[in-house]
Amino acid sequence: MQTNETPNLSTMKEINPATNKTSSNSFIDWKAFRKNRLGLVSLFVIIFFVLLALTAKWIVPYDPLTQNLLEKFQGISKEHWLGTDLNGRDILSRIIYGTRISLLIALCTVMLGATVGFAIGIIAGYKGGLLDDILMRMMDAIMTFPLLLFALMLLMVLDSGMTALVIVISVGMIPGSARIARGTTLDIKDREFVKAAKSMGSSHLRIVLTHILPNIITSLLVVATMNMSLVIMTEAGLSFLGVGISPPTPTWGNMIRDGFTFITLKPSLALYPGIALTILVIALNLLGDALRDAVDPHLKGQKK
Amino acid sequence: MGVLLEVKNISVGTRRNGEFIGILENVSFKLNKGETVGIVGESGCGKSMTALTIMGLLSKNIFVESGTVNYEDKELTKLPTTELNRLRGKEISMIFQEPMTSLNPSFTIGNQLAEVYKHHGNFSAKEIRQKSLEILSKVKISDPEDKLKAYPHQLSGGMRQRVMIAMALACSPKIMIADEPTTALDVTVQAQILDLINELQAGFNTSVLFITHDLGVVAETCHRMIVMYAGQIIEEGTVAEIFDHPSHPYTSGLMLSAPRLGSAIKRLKTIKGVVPDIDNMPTGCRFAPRCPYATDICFEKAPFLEKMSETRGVRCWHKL
Amino acid sequence: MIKYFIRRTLLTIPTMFLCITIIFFCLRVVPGDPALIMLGENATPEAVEGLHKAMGLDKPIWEQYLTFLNDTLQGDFGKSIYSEKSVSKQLIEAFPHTFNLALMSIFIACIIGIPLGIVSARKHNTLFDDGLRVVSLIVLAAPAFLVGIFLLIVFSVQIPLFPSMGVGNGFFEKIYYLILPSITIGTGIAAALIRFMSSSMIEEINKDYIRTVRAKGIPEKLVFYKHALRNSLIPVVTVIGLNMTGLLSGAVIIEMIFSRPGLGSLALDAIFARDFPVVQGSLILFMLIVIIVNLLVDLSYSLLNPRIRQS
Repeated sequence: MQTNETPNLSTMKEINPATNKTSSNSFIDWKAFRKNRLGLVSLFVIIFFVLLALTAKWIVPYDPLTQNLLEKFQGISKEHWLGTDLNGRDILSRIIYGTRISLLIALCTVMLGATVGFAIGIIAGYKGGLLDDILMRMMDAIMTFPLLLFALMLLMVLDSGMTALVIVISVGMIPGSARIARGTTLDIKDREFVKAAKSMGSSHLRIVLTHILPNIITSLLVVATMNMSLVIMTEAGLSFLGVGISPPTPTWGNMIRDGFTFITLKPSLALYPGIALTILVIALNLLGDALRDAVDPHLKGQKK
Repeated sequence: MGVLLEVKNISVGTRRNGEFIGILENVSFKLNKGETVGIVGESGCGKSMTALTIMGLLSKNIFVESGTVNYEDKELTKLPTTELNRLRGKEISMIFQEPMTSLNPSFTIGNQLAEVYKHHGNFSAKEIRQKSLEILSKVKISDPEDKLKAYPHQLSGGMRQRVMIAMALACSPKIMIADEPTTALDVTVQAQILDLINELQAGFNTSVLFITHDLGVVAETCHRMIVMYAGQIIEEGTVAEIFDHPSHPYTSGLMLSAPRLGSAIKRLKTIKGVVPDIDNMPTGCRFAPRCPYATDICFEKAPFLEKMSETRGVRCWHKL
Repeated sequence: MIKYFIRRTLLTIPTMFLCITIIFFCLRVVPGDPALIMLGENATPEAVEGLHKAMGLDKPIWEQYLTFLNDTLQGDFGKSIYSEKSVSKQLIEAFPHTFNLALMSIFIACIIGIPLGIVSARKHNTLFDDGLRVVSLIVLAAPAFLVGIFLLIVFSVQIPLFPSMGVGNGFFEKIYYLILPSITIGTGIAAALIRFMSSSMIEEINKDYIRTVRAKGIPEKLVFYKHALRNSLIPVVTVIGLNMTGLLSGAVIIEMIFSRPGLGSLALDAIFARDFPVVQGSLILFMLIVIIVNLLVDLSYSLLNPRIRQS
């Protein structure tokens, strides 16, 4: 209906949307989420990948590292569903093991990057002033680095390996998370319920923990999901360039790299891990979208 | 006085889960040449919707279920957009409530004004400029030359509303619909804009459909008035008639709730309750739940709009 | 307006300074002796010592920093350890190839992304719109290097339509050599643009001023292509700018796949060869490009948006 006046929301502002007892404890509207079919499907796809990763040891038909030169470059067959590679290793088994690395790296990186980024963002937003300026300028500076080159450079000086890879890629995740956390903090900081808490003598730490953090946790979930796809792509890119996890460990990036060498001979070597990667990334993107859309409208209104 | 625009039994609504939900119900009225008619009511009563229906500007999910809007020999609700565009802005124009957001922020005033001339006539660039300057000075904008080059955000709310009026009057339309043109403005600016509309209405001999919730504005500008409640017309008549003797309890309530100069009443009366939800309309009279005079019949049977004279009509079982 | 331009331009200086500092310290402070890394684990102490002197690594870190800052400001990035060629010279040689690739990629992204985004907005909630969304989702998710590899195989190896490596000479040949790599990068950006353009357009078309325009009797085509388009393009410019960093990262891999001697290849080769001065120089140049592009995006944003322009 065409109404001329916007509804008066002033009464709602008194309530901390995140700790509002009348709504459910989570700030994601699961009812709305359940209606989002694409989001649900992608959630199942991701669960499928996670299960693959967790049970890889028991379900793979072959050991991903065992070479069998007699069976190299085989096509699709009953024994090898997706064929074998240059060293006669089973491609399906390697893809399943690759899921493990990709998901593990993605999870660690995103958690690390988001935690640091959120801490910086909350401090910058809460304290304001010069500290805010300095921190956010630094975030801007990091944002101007091409992530891939930066990672390459650092991996060159650090020893390449899982830990280094996680730390390096997570640096790239920090500025985005910091910006979101800062925005939310700035917004909540001046709300009535925070002022009320302050006037009642709550400590800064307490205000951050009880009022600001719960409001940001939801954003964390959304940002983390969306960043995961970026991390997976970056990791694959680095592995493809030969500075990620060193072979023969099966990662999707390594497999695509190996496949690139024989691309004219057997394009499927690079194609299959590429497809797996693409499916996972699509699913993560869609889940991120669905989560963002399902974020409690109370929270949505805050982020402007 | 000939009839210029006739709205006949218009019902407008939306469809939810296949079910029709009415917003306007059987709205009918006429607008005569050179006349100013006010439509009054609380927000959400359907007065803006009526205006948008005439202009063919309803949003996609809202549609005309039945009824006609006749202008000259044309039926506006059935007219394709291209035909409608020949009338809109030229013969029927409209000004809106929010001058702050009603102009495109990315184009100059001159550009947005020139558009009207470009699409409703064959003018050279020079003529358009000349005409633009003329109309801007007619709406009493100082330094029209500078204002042509200005962007909307550089003008105050009152100035923007003057620009809106200038755009609406650019082609000397036969009908101008003003949807709460003064609501968003300061009180002093309100008075200026009202005077301007009155003056221009006389000068251009334009018929005006004036939509407002402010009875004072109606008294000042209109010849006839229509009172709407919950999507229905509940009372109509000349301004003098209704102000003299409101027949519907709602109208009388509105009058009591409006501050009046020299009134002895210290406290303004308010009408208790709120406008009913469109999903949940009362079966009888729509005002009954809030009406101090309501009896059983009011809750059981919906009253009809009873013609009392040539100009007068009331929808009530217990006319005051 | 001019004030804003000057202020915005001056604001880039601290950012540049900060970036240069971060690059310097990342390369110096992280564990590992650059000289040792360059020469390999089996280098003699004398050789390490000599390289230290040559690179100025024997001096205290703040002095190194100041020298570095001074040299950088003068555009002197030192010499390549292997080829002995001046780094600046190498950068200048490689830059046009990357610049052309970036320009062409953005061009392709715009000619695909903006019209399709508009169509998607006009046909919102139709089968066409849904189909477009699915396609852009897949393109967005497929890693650029994979797309590049397969474009290379199909259109250069299987069907030899396009060259598989090099950059070509002369204007038309250069463009010919650019087609495959820039399609690889461009389609990825286009996919993002479609979604953004579409949502931006839908947001604009529901605003109040559109109703005013319609009330003036302006044809529906102009309502879309004049009024809504201008306003919805404003945020899109920002998105194109934001993609610049990603584009440069993408260029590194794409240049490698298509063997283009651009900045990405230069940096990549230098990283693998542990050629510190070249790595440092190309990182600074990359960063400089991003900062300048961001500046240009902000300035063009203000040109498009009169609200900023006038204040």
